[in-house]
Amino acid sequence: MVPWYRQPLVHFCIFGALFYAAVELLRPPPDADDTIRLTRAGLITFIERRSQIFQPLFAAAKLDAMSADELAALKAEYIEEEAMFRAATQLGLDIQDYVIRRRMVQKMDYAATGETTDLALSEEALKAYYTANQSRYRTPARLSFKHVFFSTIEDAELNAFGTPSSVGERFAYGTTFDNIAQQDVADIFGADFSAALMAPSAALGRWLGPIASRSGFHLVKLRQRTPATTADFAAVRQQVEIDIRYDQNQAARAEAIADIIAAFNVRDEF
Amino acid sequence: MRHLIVLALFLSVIGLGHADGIGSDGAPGDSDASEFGNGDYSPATGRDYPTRLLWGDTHLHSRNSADAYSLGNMNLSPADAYRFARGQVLTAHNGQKVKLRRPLDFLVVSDHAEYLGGNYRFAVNDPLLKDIEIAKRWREYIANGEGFKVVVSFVDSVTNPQRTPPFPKPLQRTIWQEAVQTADDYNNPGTFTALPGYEWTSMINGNNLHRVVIFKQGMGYADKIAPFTAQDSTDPQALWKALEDYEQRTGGAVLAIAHNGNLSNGMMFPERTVDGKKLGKTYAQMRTRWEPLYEVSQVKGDGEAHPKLSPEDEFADYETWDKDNIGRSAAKQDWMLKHEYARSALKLGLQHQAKLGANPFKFGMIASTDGHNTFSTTEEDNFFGKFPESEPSATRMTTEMAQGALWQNWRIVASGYAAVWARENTRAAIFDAMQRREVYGTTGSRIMVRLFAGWDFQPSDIDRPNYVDIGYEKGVPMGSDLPAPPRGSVPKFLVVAAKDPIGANLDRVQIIKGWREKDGGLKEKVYDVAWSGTRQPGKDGKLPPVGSTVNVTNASYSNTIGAAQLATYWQDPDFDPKQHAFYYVRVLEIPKPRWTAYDVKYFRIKDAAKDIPMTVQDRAYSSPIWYTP
Repeated sequence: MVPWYRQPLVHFCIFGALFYAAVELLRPPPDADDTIRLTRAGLITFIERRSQIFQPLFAAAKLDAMSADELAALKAEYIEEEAMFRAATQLGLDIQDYVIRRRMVQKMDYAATGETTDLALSEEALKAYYTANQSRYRTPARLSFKHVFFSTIEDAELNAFGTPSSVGERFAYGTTFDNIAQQDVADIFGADFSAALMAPSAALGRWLGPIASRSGFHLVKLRQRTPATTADFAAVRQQVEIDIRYDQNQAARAEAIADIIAAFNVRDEF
Repeated sequence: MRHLIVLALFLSVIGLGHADGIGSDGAPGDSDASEFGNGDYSPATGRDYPTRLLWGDTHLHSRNSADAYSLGNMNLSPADAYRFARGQVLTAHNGQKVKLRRPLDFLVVSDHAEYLGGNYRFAVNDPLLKDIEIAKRWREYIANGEGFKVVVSFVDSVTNPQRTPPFPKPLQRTIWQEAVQTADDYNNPGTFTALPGYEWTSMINGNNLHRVVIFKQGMGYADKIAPFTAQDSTDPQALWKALEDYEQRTGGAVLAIAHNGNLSNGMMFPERTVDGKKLGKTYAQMRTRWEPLYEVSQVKGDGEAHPKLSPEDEFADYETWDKDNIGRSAAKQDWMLKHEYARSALKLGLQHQAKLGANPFKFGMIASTDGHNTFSTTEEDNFFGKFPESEPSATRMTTEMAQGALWQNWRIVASGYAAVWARENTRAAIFDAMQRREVYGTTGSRIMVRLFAGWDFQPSDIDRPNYVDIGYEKGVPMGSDLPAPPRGSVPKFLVVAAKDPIGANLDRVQIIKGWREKDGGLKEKVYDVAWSGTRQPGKDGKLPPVGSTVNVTNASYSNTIGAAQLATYWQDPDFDPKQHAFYYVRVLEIPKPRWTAYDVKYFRIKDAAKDIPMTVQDRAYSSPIWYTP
């Protein structure tokens, strides 16, 4: 039995409480919507943002050094930006701009979701997850082989009896491949070549070919062919545990988002 | 509900299947290797050399980096970074799904050490931060409507460390331990390697001195310390001391990789130490001991060569970023360049070697992304930018980085990856390859490069299928020193390059030589050594361009020009055994559409600015091989 303090819901509630405490802390001052206040701190911040030099002392010095005209111009710019921003917000321009919408959604996302990382997981839970998500633990087909490369079919055929008597030609990606994924074989040699090696009829331990690739012709000796398979539980136990935790976090996030959505009436008028 | 929105507004100012076998040239202990022997060359014995070419990113950030977080990466964790690198689909900040065509073999999540994980934990009210001095200050900023000053704290922490209190060391260590544990969780020997790491973010006077610190081991070693931050010291020599202390205390191993000399305004490969002393032998030995590699290419520009330093090299002006430093506080001046670019630094290193008997700039080369949105993407048609704001959108070509504070986003380079020649895909094998510099960098493509140098190679060796056996047997691989020459010999090289199996063909292979003349003059020369087609060098000695099949409008190209593979035997025609020298390889692809062209097509952009480049010639840079008289 998982102790109460390790239950995801408990974590979530604690997080929620902290979150709302933060909301209270961050409640904006009760400034009437139609008042734009000019303060020393506000102007210093404005200078920093405009200059992109975030050094309050520098900005303060700059403010203090301003002539009356410069100060008036700064105030006018400040008032214009603030008024335009508020008017835009009132018109809903912030949520009509898709870039701004996405950024706000992201910020809400992180603000609303916490992490549950220290739950104890039972062996049964791990095995059940593994069984239910077998496709995640598939390992790709792999091949181990060596080959002798010829650029022409004639040269390849001349050497295609028993052990190749020629060392062939240079093949840049190498002559011996050890436990290489089938897709990588396909990338290097072409899909037909990789399919030929995967075919059950391609015998292990003796020279085959010539087999055509996108570069030329190959005499091939297959050492090992491991079909795509599902890894044993024991081999991926650690991975299963990581995946469960990751899923739990994702689920907590989905739950938090669902709670936010639940506060709205969604009317489908499609 | 209203409260939530208010909070969000306030916070808005805080701002598998792996290439195990690729490039194998005989597995260690391969019992029937002799089958290939037919008597006319030495049979390979032992074959105990690296046969696997592994691809990775040694420099990537998650929400745990202060700047990544404040610029919108608030949700993607180191775990997401590993999942993405292993080939899983994630949702980017722009709402689109994103996935790598091919998974990576290894990854270092290198979040900034200063306030590591701090912004995220602060924002979610982590109780760990409750009584921390700087967090109290951050709360006041937010209460006063000055949340952006939280971001300023990070900038201050790396430029004016004394102005902002660091996290206490126990807190730093707790947060760092979680990063190490996550690396352990995702490290899967044989399939995917996660090396623990962080970025030391020294930025003296706005000049970039950043280093990514990479650990060979995880829990039990790396977790025994707290990261060394720029708040501890902004002097690289202090970092090296800390790395030395770490190794002595834990028995673990660690190294550091510097990047973006192009944004250091002459401080990356300097004449003097941070405290004003001329570089001495100890500095040289320490630097090379702790910094065996340099990150030569990444999103913020390519750092191999500069056109003003290498006017004869028509390919030197590649994705050049040379306007100013990373703090944008001072413009670039010409004198700075030779202390910023890798080729020049390698030359300066020869000068120090001759004078001090030790070379401070004896580095191998890798490339990495420095992505800050958790995605290691480098393919031109699958490039997700640096920050969330430079993820694909109709406007990323017209906006500027960091909400206007930094450079134009169209300048961002879809670069690069680190290629490692290793025996297997494990932490130890990859780390050891980095230490012996048997690695190279590409600007994003998975171009295969083998380089060997020796005194006894024959021209016919390059045509042998087992040229790799011969390379190791009769020579040394990239990153090494040439042994003393037999009397009258000249160095000979075997170079083989193959295109990215699903990428563009190759234009040419070049060997770049730097040397020191008797009078101390430093020289360089670019030799075209292998190229596609029937081109011949012109009267000026220059090989004509390969041409282009790029159709910018369709964002397409075809492999009807160039070569799938290029290989050559080459011997230095100008060798002088009394001169210090280095040699490295540069491989160029044929032109392809740049990521900007894919943007134009996908977003149907009608009025892209004329100065935005639409084609690119991706490339690979090998680690050098040195000759010391």
